[in-house]
Amino acid sequence: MTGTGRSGSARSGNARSGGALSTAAGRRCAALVLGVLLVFALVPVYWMVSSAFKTNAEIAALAPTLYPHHPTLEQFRAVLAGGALLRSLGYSAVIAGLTTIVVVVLGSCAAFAVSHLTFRGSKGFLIGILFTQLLPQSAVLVPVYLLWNSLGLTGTGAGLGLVYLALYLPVAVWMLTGFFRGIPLDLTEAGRIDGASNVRILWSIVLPIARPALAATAIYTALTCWSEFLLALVLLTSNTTTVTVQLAGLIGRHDTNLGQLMAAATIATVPPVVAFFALQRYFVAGLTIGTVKG
Amino acid sequence: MHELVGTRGRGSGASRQRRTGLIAVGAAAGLLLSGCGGSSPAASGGPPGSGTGSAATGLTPSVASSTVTSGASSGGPSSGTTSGMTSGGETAGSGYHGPPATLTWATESSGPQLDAEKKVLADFHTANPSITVTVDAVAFDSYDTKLTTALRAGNGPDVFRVNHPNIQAWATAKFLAPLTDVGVDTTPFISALVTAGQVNGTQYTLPMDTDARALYYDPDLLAKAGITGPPTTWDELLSDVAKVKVTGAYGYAFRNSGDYDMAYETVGPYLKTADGELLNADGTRATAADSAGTVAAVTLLQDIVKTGALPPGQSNMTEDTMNQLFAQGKLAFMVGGPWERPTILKDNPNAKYGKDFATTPIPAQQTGGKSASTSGGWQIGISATGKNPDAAKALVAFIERPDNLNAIAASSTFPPLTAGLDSEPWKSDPFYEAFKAELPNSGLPIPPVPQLAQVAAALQKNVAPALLSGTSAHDALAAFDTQVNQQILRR
Amino acid sequence: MTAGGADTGPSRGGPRTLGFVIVPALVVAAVALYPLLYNIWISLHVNNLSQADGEFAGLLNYRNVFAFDDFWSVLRTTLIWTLGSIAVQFVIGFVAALALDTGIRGAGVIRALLLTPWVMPGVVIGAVWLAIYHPISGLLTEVLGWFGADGVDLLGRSSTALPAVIFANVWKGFPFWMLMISAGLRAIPSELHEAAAMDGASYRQRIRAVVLPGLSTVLALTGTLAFIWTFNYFDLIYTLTSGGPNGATSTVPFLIWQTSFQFNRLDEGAAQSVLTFALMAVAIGSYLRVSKATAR
Repeated sequence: MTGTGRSGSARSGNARSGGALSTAAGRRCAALVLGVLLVFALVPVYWMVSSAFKTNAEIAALAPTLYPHHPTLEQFRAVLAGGALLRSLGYSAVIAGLTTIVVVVLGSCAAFAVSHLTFRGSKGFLIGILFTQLLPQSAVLVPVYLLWNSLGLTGTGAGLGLVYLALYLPVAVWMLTGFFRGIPLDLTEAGRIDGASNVRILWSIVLPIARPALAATAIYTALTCWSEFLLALVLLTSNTTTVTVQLAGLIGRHDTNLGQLMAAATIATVPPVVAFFALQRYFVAGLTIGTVKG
Repeated sequence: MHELVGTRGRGSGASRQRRTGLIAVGAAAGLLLSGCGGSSPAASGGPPGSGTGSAATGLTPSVASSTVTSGASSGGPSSGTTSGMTSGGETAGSGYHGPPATLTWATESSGPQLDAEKKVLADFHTANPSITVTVDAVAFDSYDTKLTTALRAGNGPDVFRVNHPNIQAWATAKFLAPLTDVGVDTTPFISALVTAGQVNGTQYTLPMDTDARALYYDPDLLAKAGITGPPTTWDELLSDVAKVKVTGAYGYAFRNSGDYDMAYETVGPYLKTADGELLNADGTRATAADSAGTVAAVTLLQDIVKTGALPPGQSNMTEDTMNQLFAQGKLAFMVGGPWERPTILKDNPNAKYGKDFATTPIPAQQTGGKSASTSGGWQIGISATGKNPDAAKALVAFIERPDNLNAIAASSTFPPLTAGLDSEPWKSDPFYEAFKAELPNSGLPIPPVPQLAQVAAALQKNVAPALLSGTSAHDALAAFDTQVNQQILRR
Repeated sequence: MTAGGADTGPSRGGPRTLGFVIVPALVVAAVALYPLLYNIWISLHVNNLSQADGEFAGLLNYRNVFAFDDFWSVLRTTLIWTLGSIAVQFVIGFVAALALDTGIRGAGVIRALLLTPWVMPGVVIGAVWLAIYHPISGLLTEVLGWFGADGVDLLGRSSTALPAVIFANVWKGFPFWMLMISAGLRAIPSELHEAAAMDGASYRQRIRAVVLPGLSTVLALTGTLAFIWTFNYFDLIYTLTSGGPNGATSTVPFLIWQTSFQFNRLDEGAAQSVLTFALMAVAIGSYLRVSKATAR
């Protein structure tokens, strides 16, 4: 009981009251759980990173080594040679970054409209945009390519970004709507009574409260763009392509170049993790509805 | 990747003039010089028996001779002109004088083979400075998906590799432009491969490479097991596989993870030595269960499984894993193509041919029987909707020169030529002896039908489980026949 | 949930609202409606690899799908794959989010690290899990060997292949649930926790009375999205098993890809796609009618 009292008073800090486990015992329990989960999550990641530092012969060994016995940078050197990988990283970063910004902005507007302006047919709109996700990608590939080709958008990063925008904006609307609904209507109504425009209400009332949701949506969008493969494959050519397509090129017809694949993938995993760290604080410091009200 | 240096080519002013209205000149070229071309060897550019009628024959020399005409139109014969008269196959690519053009070359090659292709493309650009070629290298796994999508939209690459199972479907879908007037002399080619590029008598693709499978074995392991030499018959193979068990290594492994594995890698090679067939020769009916050779080949693999000398994971065995086992000296026998060697050497840089690994022809069904193998290969095609068909054809003609085909095939496959392995690097390398012995008896396991990929998948689906379970070879193949006849070929 | 009905907004239906939703609405038309109509059109024709050829074939392609493609058994596998994956992903994601929400030190770093499975490029995920499941030298095979199970070929057996690919997919997908639930936990008013604490509720009771109801919208929408994505995701299956052994891991999107691009049968692939769309639309539509995902 003392613990809950403490959590109640610690609301402005890191240990906000939402964590019902904020007792010392609770935290030990949480640490244990997280430890197990970290092992589960990171063993494959460790495998990737450690393989990247192994020689081809060591990777092929039938008694796999748990760490590189003869650490080498040869795989990294090989994948970095020529600069194609780094170029594709930059390309992916630009496409993912710009798409994410546009998706979050447009998604917030639409989610705000659906959740707080509740226009006629808003439910139909919500269900309708969800149906954009139903067709499997193999079925979308040909028609989207045909459409984009007739619009002259194939072979360009902008064209790819537009497909991503089209595909992921509906998801962003869904995610954001879910969170925006948690924001009481009273709050936005109050703004309206004060004479604020819808844009103003969205900007200064809704968005600040919804920062964790915006961060989650942004992370989702950026990561999905970053790891998308099939559309990038068909819409771009190998000279200017995204990092996932570049990586797939290391899998040959008869042979997977495992060492180089692992090295390239290790490099390709760093930017999104760093980007996530950058957005991380919004999870921690994001205002909660409770504090706003109080 | 290759810079456009057309204006620095022969006659910089001329190249600008050419842009206006030269398409018409190029089209007229064939007619203008058809008399001259008819007397040149280039007339044999059409495949033997392509049978597309007189129109095609009349057009045949046009590429070789268009060299001459466009040269003339740009103010005098160029250096390419004279050689253009000597041999179509040799020079069709080196004398393009059409307007500056940019081509896209799509390929699923990687590693050394891609490097070799890029070298050939660079040479092409040097010979034809007004043509720039960009390379779109796509991973093998996603190559068909990408090409199908782009070609369907009429926005495919200009020139590209075509895997042989796709030739029929892509030609029927009008993805491919006929190659009848491309001016490649096909006499040096293996005729079956040239025929494989024809649909209803029209040439749509030309062969780029071919292959075969041989039996890889580990001489060290064989010696340890007291086996004196590699097996030459199925019976010897079977007893050798069992004998290897004493060494603690695995006797045999076969590929069993992709839809083409049974047909091309696992059952196919033995089936070829026993004259078995999966479909009848004209590809209208599946007849595997009635083919003694096919039933025998499947039974052989079942017997090999029964020795108990196979590694775990045989129900999902990949080429990578097999090579890994083999390179570590843990596997005595496997069937593989010439491309296994680079992987074996990558996995084990110290492996030596003749000691750690060696190749021998696929064992014959009986003593004195023939050794044979499945073979397939990639071909080259031109997009039906490409904007620079003449430049594309010049590129095809250039790549199809025997020296260039050799260069591209050198790293891991074979050139599609009857002279085949008589040139270096194949000629003096003992590694290739086994393949040389088999090549004359090798061919596609499934005749070229539009549904080839589905037929191969049906074989995988019905036969792969039977290899590891008790289902009789005949029953499994009968199930394959039924599926193919009722579901696949009828549609 | 919150007071204030659906029809009380003052600017409902007005042109200003339209400005907020016009882009997503257009997007619906471009990337959903057009491909859907396109697939319907293709599915009614035969031999339609190119745009040029192909003749009207009525429902022939649909008949072939049911007659030849094991469609129902593939659909069953797909549902096991989908529901199995998201159920376990939810549990792990929920536990992870709760644990991170205790104010434990280094939560930020841990959260980022737990996110890496989701960040790893798809082609590599396949390669890494192949190595882990490798029947001879795999890590998991090694671990199972300690318990006396030698040379277990998880991906090669019909009985274990599907659970094995689901396990890999759980690993890849739980961070998304963790992320969404983490954000959702932030939106639960602290007063509710305090009130529950005041009432002397135990931790478990508070999860049931405060946390789960507070997350209901987020869970419903995450579940909906995860269901659709998992259903349609086949890269992992393609790399790990290619639908095998004996079709044990063949799912609908894999079948569609194989039919369309490996077998060059875009017509039949389109029929499979349209059928899938229809089934999904019915399932999702009826779920949304009863769930909180679209309710205010």
